[in-house]
Amino acid sequence: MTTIDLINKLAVEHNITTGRAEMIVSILVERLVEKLKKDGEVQITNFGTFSIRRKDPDSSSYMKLNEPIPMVKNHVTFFPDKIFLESINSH
Amino acid sequence: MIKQEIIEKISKYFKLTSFEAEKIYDDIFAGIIKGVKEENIADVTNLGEFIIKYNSGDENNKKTVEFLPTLSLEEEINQRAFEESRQFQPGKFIQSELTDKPDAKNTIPTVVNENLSGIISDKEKNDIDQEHNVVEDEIKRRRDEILGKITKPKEEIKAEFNEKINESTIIPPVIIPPVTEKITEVTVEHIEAKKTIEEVVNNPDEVSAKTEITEKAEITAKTEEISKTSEEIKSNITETSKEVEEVTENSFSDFFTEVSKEEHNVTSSIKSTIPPLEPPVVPPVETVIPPGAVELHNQITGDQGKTNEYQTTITPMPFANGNGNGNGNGSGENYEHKLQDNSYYIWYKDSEPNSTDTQTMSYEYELLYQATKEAEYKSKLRIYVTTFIMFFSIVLILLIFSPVIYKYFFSPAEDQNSEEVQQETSSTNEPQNSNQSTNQASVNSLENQPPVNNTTQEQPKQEVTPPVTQQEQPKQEAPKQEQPKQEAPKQEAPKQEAPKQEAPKQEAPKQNSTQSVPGVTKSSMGWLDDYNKVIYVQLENGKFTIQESAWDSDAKANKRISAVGGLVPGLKGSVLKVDLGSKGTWYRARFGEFSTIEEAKQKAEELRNKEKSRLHAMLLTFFLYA
Repeated sequence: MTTIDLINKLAVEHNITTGRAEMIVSILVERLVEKLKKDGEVQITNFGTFSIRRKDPDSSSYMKLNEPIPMVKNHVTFFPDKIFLESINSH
Repeated sequence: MIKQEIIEKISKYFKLTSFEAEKIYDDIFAGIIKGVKEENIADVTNLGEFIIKYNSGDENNKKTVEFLPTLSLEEEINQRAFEESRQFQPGKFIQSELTDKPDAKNTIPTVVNENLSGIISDKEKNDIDQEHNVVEDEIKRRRDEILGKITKPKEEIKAEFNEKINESTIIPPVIIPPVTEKITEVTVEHIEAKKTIEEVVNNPDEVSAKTEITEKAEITAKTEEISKTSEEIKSNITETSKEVEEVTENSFSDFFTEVSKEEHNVTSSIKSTIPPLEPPVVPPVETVIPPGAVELHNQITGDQGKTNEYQTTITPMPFANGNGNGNGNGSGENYEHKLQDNSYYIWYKDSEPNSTDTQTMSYEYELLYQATKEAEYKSKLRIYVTTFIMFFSIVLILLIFSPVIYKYFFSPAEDQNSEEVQQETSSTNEPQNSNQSTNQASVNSLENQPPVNNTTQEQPKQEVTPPVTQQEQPKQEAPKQEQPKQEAPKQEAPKQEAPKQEAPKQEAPKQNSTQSVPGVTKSSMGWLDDYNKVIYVQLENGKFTIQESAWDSDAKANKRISAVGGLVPGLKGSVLKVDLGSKGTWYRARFGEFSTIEEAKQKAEELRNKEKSRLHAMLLTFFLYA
């Protein structure tokens, strides 16, 4: 399933244009990412939780400053909600 | 929280009710869950992919969901992390930075504290902290220095400009007078005064009312003025503040342009102050215009009869004499000048030129001169090339067809020899055919006569020949006497009879004379000259002719006769047709009548020498041009 399928489905179910549906989805994703960047964690009911996991900083000398600069690498993790898991595992 | 925000936003942008927006919100995530369930994958752009992962350990939840963020999302998050790390302060990291993150808060500081508490004492802790602080301070100081070096110029420039602006535009201090207070004071005073006046004087009410009205009007006018001035001041302040902002927002390029403008102004002022240098006065020099340039000038101007005038010039005019361009002298003379680089130019207008005009004119004339020369050169080159190509092509054609030409013109003896061989080996019909042959080309007496065969072999052949009339049969016994009789009806009989009767008498000495000629051998045809490749044939009248060549067509034989006649003037030729049976008919080219073989040989030698000389000349010219 892709975003296009989701948009088409929304457009059909709610009797709106695909452009509007696309806009809604893009707004949702945008807000979600902003919130994640800001707070480091976003919890969506009945779906799951997005969170940023921070790795230990790797020190490296940046350019010619001869100064250790911590190079941080974060990655996003997702913990699915119980309802999500149940719906997947149910036959 | 986020749900409410998104719902509000959707309802606001798309003019939907909150209920509808909430339904859409729920449906989006429900659709993602459904997609993951059905297709095991759901791809959401700019967010990531939700993929099902099979967990073997947990029996209840065999399937779990794994989220793979997109690169853009990861980059955004890491960019945030990098920005945070730029503001990273090692000492304060534990206390301040991880306050937002509960996981990190719980993990990292505790580990540090546990490690330190077990190993190091309080004093050592303090020392380490101090060292850490010293190192941190040093790092911070160095960082500030570097950043200061990077950012200092911009700030300094900005500060300078701000100072300049402040100096140039002095903002007057804003003094807002206490309008209302004054007004109130004034009104109170006046009212009090009025009251006192009313009380004291007890004037009628009309006067007091008038005074009140006038006073009020004055006060309102004053207040209006004050308010106007205050508004003006405020507007001035806003304008100046805007200007200041604009100036401060100027980029470096604007500053550079300002600097360049200032430089330009300075240079212009310097130029204006310094007087202009006078151009050097060229001393009068006698010059001679090249004749080619004069002709060219005449061609342009159309004055063909003024060649001498231009050649006998010149008094060069000074360039800066104050007259300037356009001040004609009215004489209509043409001025020619010579520059310092010895380039000539001609001024043909009825005005005095300035330096730029003369330079441009000289340049134009030079271009014209070059163009004409180039055209001449091209035309000449074209002629040379065409002539060379023509000659070369002719020579090439000659070279290609040289074997044919040589065979056609200069080596006909091969044909003759072959004919000779044929004649020697041919059947006995030849003399008979030769008798029947007719000469088409010439009108000479030789043409009608067959070739004379003095050999003993030919005589019996003549006897065998069948086509003989009954009247001729007895005459064949004496063949030399019969022949004139055959020709008697065609030609004048008495004239030919006399030499023919004398012929046997002449043969004897001639035969003797031929034996003594070197380089000549007797054959069946006649006397063969190997050197000159000709045959000397004796005619019936006892004279000798040169059989130079034999051809397979009458036209070729006539052509050859004409060619030889061109080479050796006065040498007459004739063609004799001979039928050789299986070998075909041949046309023999014969030249002249000579009393002796020696004379014939001399003529033949002359002919061959001339041919050789012509061939040599052709070859020489060919080699020369090749």
